[in-house]
Amino acid sequence: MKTSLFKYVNASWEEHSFGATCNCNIVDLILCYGSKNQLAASGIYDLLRQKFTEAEIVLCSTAGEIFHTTVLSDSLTVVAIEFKTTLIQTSAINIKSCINSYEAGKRLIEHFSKDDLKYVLVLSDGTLVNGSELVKGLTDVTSNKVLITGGLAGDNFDFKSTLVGLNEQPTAGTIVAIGFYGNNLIVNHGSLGGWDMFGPERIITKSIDNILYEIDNKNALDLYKRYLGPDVDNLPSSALLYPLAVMTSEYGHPIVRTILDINEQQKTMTFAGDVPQGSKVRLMKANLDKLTMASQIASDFATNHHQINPDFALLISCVGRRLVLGSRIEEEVETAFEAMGKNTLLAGFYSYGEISPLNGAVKCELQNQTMTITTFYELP
Amino acid sequence: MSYHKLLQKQVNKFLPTNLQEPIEVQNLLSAINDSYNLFERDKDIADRAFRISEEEYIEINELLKNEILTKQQSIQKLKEAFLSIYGQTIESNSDDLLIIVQYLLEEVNIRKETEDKLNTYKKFSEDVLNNIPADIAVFDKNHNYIFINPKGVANLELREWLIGKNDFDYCKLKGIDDSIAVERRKRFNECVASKRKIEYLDKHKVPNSEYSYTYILRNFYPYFENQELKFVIGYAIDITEKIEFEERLTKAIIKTQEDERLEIGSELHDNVCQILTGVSMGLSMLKKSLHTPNSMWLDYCETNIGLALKETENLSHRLSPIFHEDIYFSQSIIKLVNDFNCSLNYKLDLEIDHSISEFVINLDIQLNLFRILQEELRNIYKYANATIIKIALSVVDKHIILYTKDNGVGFELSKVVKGNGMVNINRRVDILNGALTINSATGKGCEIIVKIPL
Repeated sequence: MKTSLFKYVNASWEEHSFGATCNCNIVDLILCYGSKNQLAASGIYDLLRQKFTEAEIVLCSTAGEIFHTTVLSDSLTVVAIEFKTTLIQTSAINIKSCINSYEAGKRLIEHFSKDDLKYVLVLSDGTLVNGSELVKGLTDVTSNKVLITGGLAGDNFDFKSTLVGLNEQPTAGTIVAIGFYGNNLIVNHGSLGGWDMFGPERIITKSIDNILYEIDNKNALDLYKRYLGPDVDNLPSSALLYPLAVMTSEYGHPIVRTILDINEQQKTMTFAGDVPQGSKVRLMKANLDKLTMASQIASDFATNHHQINPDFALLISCVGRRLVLGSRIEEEVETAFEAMGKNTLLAGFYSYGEISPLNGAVKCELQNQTMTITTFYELP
Repeated sequence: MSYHKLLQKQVNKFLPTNLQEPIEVQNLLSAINDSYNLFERDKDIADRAFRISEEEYIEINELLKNEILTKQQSIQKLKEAFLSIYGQTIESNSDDLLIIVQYLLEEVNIRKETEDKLNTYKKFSEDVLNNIPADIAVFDKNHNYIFINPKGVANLELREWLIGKNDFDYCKLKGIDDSIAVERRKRFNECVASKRKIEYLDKHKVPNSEYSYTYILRNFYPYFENQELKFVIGYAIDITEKIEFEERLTKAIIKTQEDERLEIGSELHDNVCQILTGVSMGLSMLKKSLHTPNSMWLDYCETNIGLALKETENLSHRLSPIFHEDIYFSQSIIKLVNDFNCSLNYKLDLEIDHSISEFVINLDIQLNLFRILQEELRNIYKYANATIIKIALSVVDKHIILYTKDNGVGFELSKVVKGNGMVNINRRVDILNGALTINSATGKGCEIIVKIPL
């Protein structure tokens, strides 16, 4: 397996020196991460197809691109993967043609051949799709027997609309899945947030799916505004400072939920995943060192505690982490690189939601505020 | 470029101006400045988060304190409740709500058991009261209902309505004459005044039936506690069947009596009178054959045998008045009256409606009316000391009416001791489903009207 990393600068492709040089004409898979601004430019797909003539091309907008150990903004990056024996199958669907996100998840991969299916990578629209429902649809098809990881596309800190595409110009509402087949491919994952819970335990007293109305019978948006203080002017992105730890019997462990949008008229908050009524919740806040530490622990899990030296690691981290870590954002990427033994090429993006089981768990869930690492190693 | 306040101080203090010039130094300072600002922001967020959550914890703490206070007050109230139930304070170390609840739960269970027993007993009592074949009502001392059983009043709604009310209210509700209420109030007062059980017979016409009656034996039984009237139990039993049986029995007895009289009368007429006639004829023949001028003893015998024959014939006729089929009912009445006034002691006026002969009057009625008149005349003779008697027999509206009036001493209806005579008249009227009216007062003579349906 060979993985190359490209950056499109000044109308030409710059290849990262850490990657292995692929033959652009025979690469199997292209993962193109870029800002919405970049991906929205007409002809972007043609530009890629021109260079990578045979590959399955997947495009996804972000809230920041991880280019090996660097974090970029408003860039266009490409991961080119050339497998030796592993085969891939791709699928795309648009949420607008589905009844709901659950159905979209099911329809997206139900036609995938189940034999030798090793792993599924999912990249989804990040504002129109309910990530929790999407994951339920996906896992109902695989019965939690196949590893699924991925993320929801981003729109910088704007939360307006996102773009995803498969072998065409990316569009809003698209969800793409890539199935990986073959016994030689070894895929591992690690996912961790590192946020601290604080303050009293509260109960969600009114919510519908991923829309939150009331906590402890009081308006949830008012509660948030109290905590945001002067940062209230930067809503909704400033709400990322205080994710919500949701505890339900369904999950068995706290699930982190981050805010995607607010509605000042209706005083509601839209989260990146379900916030079930009756759940116990606590606010969370960042501790910069613990956030970085979480990246190291996720790397440990993703390398099976250093037993594997991966060819490539896909890093999908949350936009909330980027907001909090600010200029120290590259620390979590560098930490991951070091934790994996400084031999692995890294690439990925900042997302509106991560799809992965938590460390040690099998059941795939929609995560928020985590560093989610998926490592790839193909046996020679 | 201005740096973070602290960084600016440190640069001013430790980095001479000429060393600040190179671009590498400026980049370094810029990176350090970013970190300072980031830490500053992180600290601000943390400070704010902890300050607000501390405020929230204080609020929660206040709420909890209030809750504890409420709980303590509740425990105090429970303890008071416990004291009032058990008559003793709860054990000293039992501030534990659970222990108190345990106690109260036991109490509730005991009460529940007792209630179950009471309910079972209540059901038994109600079953008895509801199924007993008698009307039962309990009254307060003012004659207002405090209980009525379903036999007394079948309609539940009406039964409940009546509680606290009386028979006058009932009559008003039903829009009926309150004579029944008046009668019952009189009996009730009698019972309360005498402090004894009162029993009386209520006779009512069966609705839509001309001659059938129901007979209800009513009782008022006063209940006293420490000399004070607590309530009065009223109970009533339908004795119509018993009365009807007695009537049938009376009829049978009277019929037997009449049969016996008839037999004796006919025996006297057919046998004894014939013998006496034979003897009389024999004596007459003997008288002719004797040629003895002094036949005084024969004449004596002849006269006495004639008397005996007449007396026997009279007796026979009294015993079986309608025995002779050739005599009409009116004729036997005329004969009875004439025989009664043979010595012309009374100014007697007998009036018989001629139309009476147009009706077929059954022998039972004829015989009983005859006996009734016989009894009335006997009473006038024995007690009335009258000089004028009026008797009338008529048929009005399918009823035969026997009217008698005398100008004798009269009597007070309430005081008259009913001897055999009046009882017999009553019985005969009853078995014929008739009506008996007696109007009399001391010094005012007596008027009796017997009305028998045909």
